[in-house]
Amino acid sequence: MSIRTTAIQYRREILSLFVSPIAYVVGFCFLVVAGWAFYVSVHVLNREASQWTVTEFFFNGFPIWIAQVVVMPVLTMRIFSEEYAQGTFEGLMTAPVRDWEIVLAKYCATLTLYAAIWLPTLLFLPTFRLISLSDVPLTSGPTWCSYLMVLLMGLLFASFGLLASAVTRNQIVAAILSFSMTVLFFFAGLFIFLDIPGPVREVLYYISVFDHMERFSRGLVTTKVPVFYLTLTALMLFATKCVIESRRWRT
Amino acid sequence: MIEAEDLVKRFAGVQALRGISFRVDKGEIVGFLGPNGAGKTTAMRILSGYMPPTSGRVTIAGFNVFSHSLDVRRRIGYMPESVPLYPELRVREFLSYRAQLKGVRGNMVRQRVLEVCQLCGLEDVSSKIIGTLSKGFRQRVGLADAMVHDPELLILDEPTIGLDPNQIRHLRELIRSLGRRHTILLSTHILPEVEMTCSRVLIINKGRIEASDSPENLTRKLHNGGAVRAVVKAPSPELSAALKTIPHIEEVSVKEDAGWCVAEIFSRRGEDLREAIHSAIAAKGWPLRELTRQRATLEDVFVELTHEDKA
Repeated sequence: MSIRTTAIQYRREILSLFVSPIAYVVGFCFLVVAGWAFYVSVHVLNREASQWTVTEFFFNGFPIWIAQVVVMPVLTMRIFSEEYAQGTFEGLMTAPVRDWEIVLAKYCATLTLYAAIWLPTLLFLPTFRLISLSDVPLTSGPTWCSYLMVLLMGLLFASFGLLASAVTRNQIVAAILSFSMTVLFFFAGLFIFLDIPGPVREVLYYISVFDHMERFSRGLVTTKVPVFYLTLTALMLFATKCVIESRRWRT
Repeated sequence: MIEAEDLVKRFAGVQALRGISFRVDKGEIVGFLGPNGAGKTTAMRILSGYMPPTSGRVTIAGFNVFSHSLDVRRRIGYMPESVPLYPELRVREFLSYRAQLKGVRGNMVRQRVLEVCQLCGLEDVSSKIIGTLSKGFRQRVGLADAMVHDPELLILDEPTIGLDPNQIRHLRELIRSLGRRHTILLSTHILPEVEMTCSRVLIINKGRIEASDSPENLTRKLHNGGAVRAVVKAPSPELSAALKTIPHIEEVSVKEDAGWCVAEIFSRRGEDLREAIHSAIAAKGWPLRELTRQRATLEDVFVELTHEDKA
């Protein structure tokens, strides 16, 4: 695999992502929701004493989950579907580029955009400290751990989105597919709150995004969580590559 | 340059190619003709490595299109019929992206983009956004994209669609000049273009190759290819009888027109009988006003080979 070709393709993807209005609309809406979620976290903590920190409140709050489930499908829906619909896929597949290089370039470009959308939220905690004039030390460890979890989720959900977009030329269908995959994954994790006995519960704990985030936002990091996310991501990317390859045989 | 052996392509229930074989040698400009749905685009997509054949084998520049796909793709410039472009990019951005993707490096990228912009008449629009360009300009951007890495083989699927007559003439000259250094395979419906530019023609119909020859040979071989028209002042039954005595003549039709007889004389394929006709008429002492050999066009060949009711 050639890094050079992947980088050329990545640049093209970035260019197209950042000139499309979708990136800005999604970014704007996400920041409004995230800002509001942060404000609510602070507000609730102001009213009554809690065992939770601001970081925990912010990263485990309902609004952030909603944003997570919606953002990725919207960012990824066009990534292959648009190429199919525009016919540019034919130009791409007849250029000297390997299928892996295309998948990786598109994946990295999506992650870059995802990171760009999350980047401004890094200002939330320092701003809060500045305004509140509090001298209570905010520990940065759990915050960075939470962001690590955000990144891991991004890695996985972007690969869901890529796979969904690779199977259809219709962007709406792609968005619905990746939204469904993400939601299913989320809900599987929600079952830990129900009274399910035995080994099933253990499996659910193992894959529960909620549980992972809760622990990471407290600063409890284990290697098995990143390994789980990275393995599943690699699997999804491999599936995407297979779908791309199979389009040659089907067209 | 291209060697295709027994290519078969089946889509769900439809057989698009039924075992076609052909060769294209280095430096040839070959026109790929056929009615809509004949299998031209399918064949070109297989050659470009976009999709594999159901069975059969293709090599380009000695490399198998499927086992050495990247080697082949580096050597060809393919312009698909739909001319796929990214509408959000500027012409220059798009071409330099494509040049780099196809392996042009460093300073050569700028130089090549500049060169193809000049060749395709894109200098004035090079900083425009592709989405705002007219069909003709997009077509030229597609052509520039196919040529940007200076490939050995150009595969152009209907490059003249959407161009005005001036642009078509310009493209014809461009293809001719490219033909000196490149091998070109192009498909088109504009037959006079093919006659003027191509050294050889492949006619494909219903997934089979019906003919492969130079445009001149094809028109010569055509049934009425050697028809001769003679305008003579003579009584028509006698003229008809006199002409029929000439050896190798198959059919004579005579019509009277304002005191003159217009005779259409059909000979066996490809034979030029003007001299014999002249001698026969001169021997009778009839005045002869016109004696011309009618040239069949590629269009006649195309219609004869691909028409539904052909014998």
